[in-house]
Parts: sequence; C-alpha cells; structure tokens
Amino acid sequence: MKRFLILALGLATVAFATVAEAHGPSRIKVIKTVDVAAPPAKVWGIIADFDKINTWLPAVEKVDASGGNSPNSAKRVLHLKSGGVIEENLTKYNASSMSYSYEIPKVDPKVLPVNDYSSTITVSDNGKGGSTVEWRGAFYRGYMNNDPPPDQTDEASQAAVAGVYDLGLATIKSLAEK
Amino acid sequence: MLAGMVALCGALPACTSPQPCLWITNQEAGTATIIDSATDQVIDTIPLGEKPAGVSVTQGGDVVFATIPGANEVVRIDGYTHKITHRISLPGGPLGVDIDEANAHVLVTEWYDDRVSVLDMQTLNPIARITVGHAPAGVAVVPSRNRALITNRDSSTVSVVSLTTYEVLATIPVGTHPFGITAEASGRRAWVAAVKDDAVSVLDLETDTVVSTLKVGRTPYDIAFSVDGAQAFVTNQHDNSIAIIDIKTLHPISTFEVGEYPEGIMAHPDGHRLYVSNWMSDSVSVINIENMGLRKTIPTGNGSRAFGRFLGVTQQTCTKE
Repeated sequence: MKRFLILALGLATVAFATVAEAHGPSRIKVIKTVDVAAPPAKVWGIIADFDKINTWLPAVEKVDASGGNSPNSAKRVLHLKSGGVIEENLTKYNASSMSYSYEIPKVDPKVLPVNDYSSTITVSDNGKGGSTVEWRGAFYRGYMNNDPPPDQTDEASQAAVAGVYDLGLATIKSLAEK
Repeated sequence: MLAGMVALCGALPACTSPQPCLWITNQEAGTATIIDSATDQVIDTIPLGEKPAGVSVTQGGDVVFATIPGANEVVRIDGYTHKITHRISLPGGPLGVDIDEANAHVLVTEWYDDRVSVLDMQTLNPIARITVGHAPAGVAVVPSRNRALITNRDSSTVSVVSLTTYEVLATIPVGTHPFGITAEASGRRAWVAAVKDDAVSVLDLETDTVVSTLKVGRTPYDIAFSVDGAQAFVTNQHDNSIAIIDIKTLHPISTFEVGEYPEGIMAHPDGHRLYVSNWMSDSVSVINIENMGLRKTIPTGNGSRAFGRFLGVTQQTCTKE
C-alpha cells in the first residue's frame, strides 16, 4: 500500500529540461468516485477542513496551513512522505453542498507531473442510505513540449493523479465505515 | 450588415431565423456532437480522433473543420452528411481554426511550432505557413479587414496577419496568456481572453492597440457577442460562469452560472439564445439572452470544448431533405 502511494506521487522522477510556461494543448480530466456506507454528514466531517488532508491522504506527512476554510485566502502546504512539497490554494468552499475546490499554482513535476491543476471534492447522498464522494481534477501534463518521453505523457500525468484520488477515496471510505 | 439583418429577424415573429447545426468537439470522447438548433436536440455523434479541440463552420453550415491535437491532424467534414472528406497531418500541434471564406482558405494555429498554417478549404492542401509568436492558440478571421488575428499564449501578444500576403502586419502586446479571440461583427474591435490575468483585452483594429482591459471571472477562455452587438459574453473556466459585459460602456452587467469549465461560446442567429460548452460537465448550456435564464442543458460527450465558431450563422436548416 505505502509503496504504491509513493509510486503514485513520485511518478516522472526522471530529469527533464524545464522550459518556459508552455504545456500541451489538451487539458486532462480525472473523475473518481467512491460509495461509502455512512451518512454524508459523517463523510463530510472527515474532509471538511481544508488544512487536515493529512488525516485522509496517507502520502501526506504534515500540512502547514493558513486561512481555515476561507476561499481565496486559505492555503495549505503538503509535505509528502516521499519528500516533495505541494502548495494548494482554496478557491471555493460550500459547506451546505459539501464541496470545495482548490488549485495548485505551481508544482515541481518530479513531485506531481501536472501544470495548472485544479480540483473539486464533493460529498453527496447516494440515495441508498450512504454517500458518494467524488474527487475530480483538471490539469495539463507535466512535460511541457511536443513529443513527451513515454513516462511523461498525458497518460502518465493522468495515472499519477488517478492514483492519488483512488488512495484518498479508499482512505475516506475506510475511515467513514469504521 | 449581416448581424443587423439577423437581429431584426429575431424581433419579428413572422420572420424565420436560420436554424444552424452546432458542432461540439468532445476532447476526451474523441467525437463531435451535432445538435440541431431548431430543436436543441442531438442529431448525431461522429468519431473525429484523439482529443479534438478547435472547430470552425462555414457561414452557410455546409463545411466544418476541426483540429485533432492528440493526433496532430486537421479534418474537413461535410456539414450535412457528417462524413469526413479530408484528413491531413499537421505535426506542429494544431489547435485553433478559422475559415477565410473569401479566399477559400482555412487557418490553423500550430501550438508547438509557433506557426499558422494556411490550407486550401476544399482539399486541405498547404498554401502558406506564417511564423507568429510562441504557442499560438486562437485565430479569428476578420473578413472586413482581410486580416486574421492570432493569440500567442506564451508571448502574450496578438499577431495581425494579412490574408493576401500572409505577412505579420503587427504584433500587439495584450494581457497574460491570451487564448480565445473574437472580432466584433463590425470588424472595429476584437476581444481577447487573457487567461492568467482574469481579464479581457479589447483591441482597436484600426490602431492595433489595446484600448481597454476588463476584469472578468477566473481563467477566461473565449468570447461571444450578442447578435444585436449590445453584449459580450466571456466564459470563465474556473468560476463555472459567463461574464456579461455591455459593449457600449465596457462595463460588466452580471455573471451567470453554467456548467463546469465552460469553454466554447456562441450566440444563435435568432438573437435569443446563447450556447456554452462545458468541458467538465460534458454538456452544452442553452441560455435565454433576454432574461439570462437557463433554457436547457444538452448532454454531449466527454470533455466538450467547441473552441471556435461552432455554428454557421446563415445556415437555414441543420438537415437537408
């Protein structure tokens, strides 16, 4: 489990030239959901605080955060167990619809091979007495020019983010169903 | 001229407005969704290739061009049979596309090669290649000026290109990371979405200068105008909204919530409807312009972009008998 996590977050560690602020023309979409056998309020309680992602994303060692849950002022810095750092800014927060959105202005592609990353996580009633958590993201690949090497393609970036989402959602599920 | 006639038509019940097809490129699905605006129903979905993005339809709706960045291709499609008639390779990362109908050419931006390709409208054979700025994205043909405008995303400029000589006539500094560009029907001004500035740059095409910079929502993408020329509409990708701006005063009027990551946007020639493609929501929002109310949400395909002129403003009917 832990090895897989590090793998997911540590993809694209191969060194490559850093070029200006270009990216491939196609934005990538990842949408992952999980059904949880627990009421939405309980599930939302697990993820509601923007500064406590370390409690449900095991790849995160600790979080430095400020601004609480206030959109456009709240920030968090994730210190990963693998050693990397990801800075994230809260852009939307809606407790009544149990959803918030955040962005990564800039990240070392060796830590997470993405550019212009934005994401939303939402808890909803699944109509079967439980909840659905959806985590979706939009971003460009880590490699910034034409013809990326095989390990730095759209697919590699997509797989890295999908791996993070799968593991985060699995952890939320296991915490909520405990 | 055309815009005025159509607006008048929209105001008179007895007058029949054109009812063009909408051509919505779906990036993740690799398809185009074709919607008949007479009914706002999907009438067909056709495969295009890997990650289609840009689209441009002739005014009369008979021919459609689309860029396929994932496969480095451009396709020409028959607007009525929905068959791909021509497919060419364009290795520089084709993205934006617009049609120069007067000269029977198609212009395609090549993102990685910092060029614009000029292609024959019937065959897609290359006619010319123009070097512009870094990462050219959007392209708008301005027929009344016999020019094309190209946004250079990484240079934060707009290149003004002659459609006769293919020379770059001017390079205009605009806001940061310009992407979508649309000229007013009069050809007097063009509006550019400056993605990183959360703003729109308004260009005067007589002087080739930025005459106004307007704050909109977060990460604006593309721009449309109402048929009567009174309002501009800007898609704000990260706000899931449309910014509505008074063209005369250049003041914001309001914002309107649509689906997630709205991208392509165009007004229907009837003057009443506005169409927005939602990339994350896989849908097209149909909005009533008069009261800015949501009229309908049409499910499309995964990753709807429709980056460009996705309907032909004089096409009378979307299907032929």
